[in-house]
Amino acid sequence: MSLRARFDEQGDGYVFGLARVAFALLLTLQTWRLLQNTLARGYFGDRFHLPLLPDAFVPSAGVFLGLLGLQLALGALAVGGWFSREALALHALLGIHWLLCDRLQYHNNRFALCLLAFLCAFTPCDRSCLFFRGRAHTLPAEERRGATWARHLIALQISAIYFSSGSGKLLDPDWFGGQTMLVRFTDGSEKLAQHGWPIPEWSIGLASAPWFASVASKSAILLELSLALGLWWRRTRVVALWAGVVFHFGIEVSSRVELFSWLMAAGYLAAFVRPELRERTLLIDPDWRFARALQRAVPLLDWLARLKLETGQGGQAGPVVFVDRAGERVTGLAAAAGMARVLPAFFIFWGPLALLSKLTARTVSRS
Amino acid sequence: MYLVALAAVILAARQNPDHVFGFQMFNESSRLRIELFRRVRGAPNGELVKVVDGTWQARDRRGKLRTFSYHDRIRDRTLGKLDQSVHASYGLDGQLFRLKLALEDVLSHTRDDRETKALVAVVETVKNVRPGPQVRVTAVRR
Repeated sequence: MSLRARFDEQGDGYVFGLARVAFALLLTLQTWRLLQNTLARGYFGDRFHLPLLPDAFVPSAGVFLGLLGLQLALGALAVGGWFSREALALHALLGIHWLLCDRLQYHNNRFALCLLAFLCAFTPCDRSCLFFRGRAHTLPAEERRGATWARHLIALQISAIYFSSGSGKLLDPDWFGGQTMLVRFTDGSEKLAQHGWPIPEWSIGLASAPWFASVASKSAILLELSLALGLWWRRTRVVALWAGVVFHFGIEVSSRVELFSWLMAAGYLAAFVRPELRERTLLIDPDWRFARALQRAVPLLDWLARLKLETGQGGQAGPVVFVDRAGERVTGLAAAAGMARVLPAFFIFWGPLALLSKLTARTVSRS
Repeated sequence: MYLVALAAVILAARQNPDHVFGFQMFNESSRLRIELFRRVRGAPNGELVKVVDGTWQARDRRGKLRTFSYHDRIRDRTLGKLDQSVHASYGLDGQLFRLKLALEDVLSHTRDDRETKALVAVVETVKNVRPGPQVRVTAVRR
């Protein structure tokens, strides 16, 4: 897609509404923690702090608390869908302002959250998830369409994060050689042991092996750099997204990274989920009990409105037939993989399911 | 415009010792241990006086003995911990850069202390498990 085409692109705003709610919740949580921290430990301006802005731009304690209150109100507006784009943008800008007021409070994930939320405010994110709007929380389809160029900036921002992080590690001899990773592994094992987690002997040996740390380091660097590029090509995008989800899931369970994993999930949603809805179909054969159960469950799990549910006419290839965007019909494991691909709660299983279905298909065709 | 600004911010961040705004995730697994000392007026050979628990006593301009505390100003999770080994988030260089500014801040907020000429932090560094050099960070009262 050319640059011009990306700029002129129009799309359904439904998914951006979900992203807006996610970013607004994360920003609000971040602001709430900042407020709690201020109430517990005092105003940052009353102790050693390192502003990047001139002192005149650092507010007094009273103004700071007032603005935190305003941010919480903006968060409620952005979540609820009332002046939501303006509220989201202003909330994010205030968040960036606090980071500029004190670099001691800087964390990469906080900065990234503010940037992604700010960019999300330029998408048509104010046309769905409108909780102030009575019972119909979403505008009709024709009114939801809008310019979606900002999603490419969100994608670019996400790529920049991966590229900067990966290239920084690539150029650092301790990271590339595995030393930094080795320390993390051994620290992690010790912490798990301290908390009484049973750790098998072989995994302790592996975690303290320099060769393993070296391989893991290089893999992590390669993954980050691959994500920076792989998310841009249609052919590699779904694999990159899956690898990214697994990567962030791993980080979430092994490190304290505040809201970073959730932030990247929201970023993926805004940047890489196609705005168009219900491009795939699930054909259900109601004669099968399992298929009927699926018919009830799918609407609850299809948060991104990817699937059109249709009742088959009987005699179809299986109880459940998945029809992809190109119209190709698959059943069995391939259908399960297709569903995992579009249902966010199951996306983490897409990789193994897709691999298994490919292997099975190959076996069948060979036999 | 956004692209240019983003690239500029990231490249500029690489020049900062603490890499703020540079998206350098998990850049180091380094540690540091800060011991704080004072250089006081009249000490023989400029001998340093250890600061215990972050507090010290000194006379003010009226000759009255007063208590001063490093922790009144420095409450940061890394720089606020004296005499214990802590993780150097955002890297050793970043924390040493911030420590110098922190010591200057403490001095500028303890102007009633007429005895302390300088604060000296002696920092044991461990960079990714390998023992690093002992670093002295000094802030002199102006």
